[in-house]
Amino acid sequence: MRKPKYSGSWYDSPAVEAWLEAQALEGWFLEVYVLGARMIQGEPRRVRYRLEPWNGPVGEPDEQQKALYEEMGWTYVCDWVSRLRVFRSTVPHPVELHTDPVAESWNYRPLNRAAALRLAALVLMAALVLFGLVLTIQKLLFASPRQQILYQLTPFDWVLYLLLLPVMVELFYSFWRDIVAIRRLTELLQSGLEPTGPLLRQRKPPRWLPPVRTALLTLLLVWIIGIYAMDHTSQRDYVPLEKWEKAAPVFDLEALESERLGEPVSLFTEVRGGWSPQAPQQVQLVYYRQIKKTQWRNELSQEYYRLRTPQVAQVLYDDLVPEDAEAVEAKGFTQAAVFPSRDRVIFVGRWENRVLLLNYNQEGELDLLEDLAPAAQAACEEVGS
Amino acid sequence: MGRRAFEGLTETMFYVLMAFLRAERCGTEVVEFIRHKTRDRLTLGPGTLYTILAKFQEEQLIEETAVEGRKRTYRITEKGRALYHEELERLRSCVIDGESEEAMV
Repeated sequence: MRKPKYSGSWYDSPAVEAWLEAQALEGWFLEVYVLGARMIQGEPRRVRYRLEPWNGPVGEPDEQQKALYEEMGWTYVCDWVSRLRVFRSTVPHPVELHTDPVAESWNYRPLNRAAALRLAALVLMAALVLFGLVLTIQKLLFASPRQQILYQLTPFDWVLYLLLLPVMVELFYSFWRDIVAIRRLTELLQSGLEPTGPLLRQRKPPRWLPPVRTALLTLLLVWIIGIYAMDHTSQRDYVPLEKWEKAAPVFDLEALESERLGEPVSLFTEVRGGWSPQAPQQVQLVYYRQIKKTQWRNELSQEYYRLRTPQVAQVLYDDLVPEDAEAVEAKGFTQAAVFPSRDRVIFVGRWENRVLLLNYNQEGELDLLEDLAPAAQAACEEVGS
Repeated sequence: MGRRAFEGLTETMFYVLMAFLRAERCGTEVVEFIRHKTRDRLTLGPGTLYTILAKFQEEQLIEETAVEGRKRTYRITEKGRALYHEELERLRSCVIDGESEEAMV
């Protein structure tokens, strides 16, 4: 038993039929097996194979079709590829499966549409991958040092891109050949003609291509499984944004602002989240106050980063804090600083592999911010754990 | 550019419609009718028959009347009968034109 090693387009029906018939003469017969179609060895004999498009569910034909076909000497073998069924006949001179090319061409219309959609989906996917790559490169080249730290590609990411490129080119070429084969066959049939030979020039792939292709696909699969597993182990404590939304506000800024302004203040919060190769958790809580009907002011924003390693946290901290910023001793933080920035004040603190940033819309309130920081840190730890 | 469905029936399609003119029939009876009617000149493959029956049903040229186990029986609709007569007229014109041309030779 072996896998059917057919190297042409799977939708070039005449070529596939000729190949299956040649295989039968050598003693290899297509059969359906547990894991799909397989070639089973037997006594060499003449068998006729016909492929028929089918615009319906995968699997055996319905009872009426099966009965009709069997009565005229044709047995269903298996589904060759999506929407293409294989029938075989072992009787010496069976009635052809199709005797009216125009009627036969009707069956190829949905196949044509499906092949075009498949190609369009691949092009879209390739565009998204390329867009992702361009976006990442653009970030690496032109972004701020902070973004460069957060969005730098790991060697695994580069491996993915290098693997995806040849696989996509190969897939695009093979999908394109499928479309050409289906179109040529449909046009022939619509003209009332039956194909007399393969529809495409048979390409003999170089000997090295199949093993290289298999190795690339295996690597890609391992990579995807590896990343999936890695993400689900290293991010086991990933906290969904809904949880942050429920936990917000992490401290009572409304009471604080009301007391400071001497009138009741109503704020609303917004939670934004993100992920990057270096930061499995990036959460930003923003407290807004309504100034006019359609105008809102950012009163305070709180950024929390859980990074891959303490070293990355240190790099991010150094990037966020200007050299002349005042270092402060804040409870629970390994390193902290407060500093004015335009008409706002900023607190940045680092502990373990985490960084917390508070950006408050009140000039000169450095001490207040320093006091708020431990509460914000405690809330982040509580929600994020 | 090839012919599209029902811009003109093919010979096979014409005979399939003809098979239902006088009686309700199942698939194998249609095959037998055509074989008998054309004195084995025209054979109908199972794939072609199945495709045509499905298409004719979709276009409401025939309709299913009974299902007994694996056997399904169909009958022609008014729309199918009209299309058959239209095609018959077209074929008659062809024959008349052909014969008149031949008479002048």
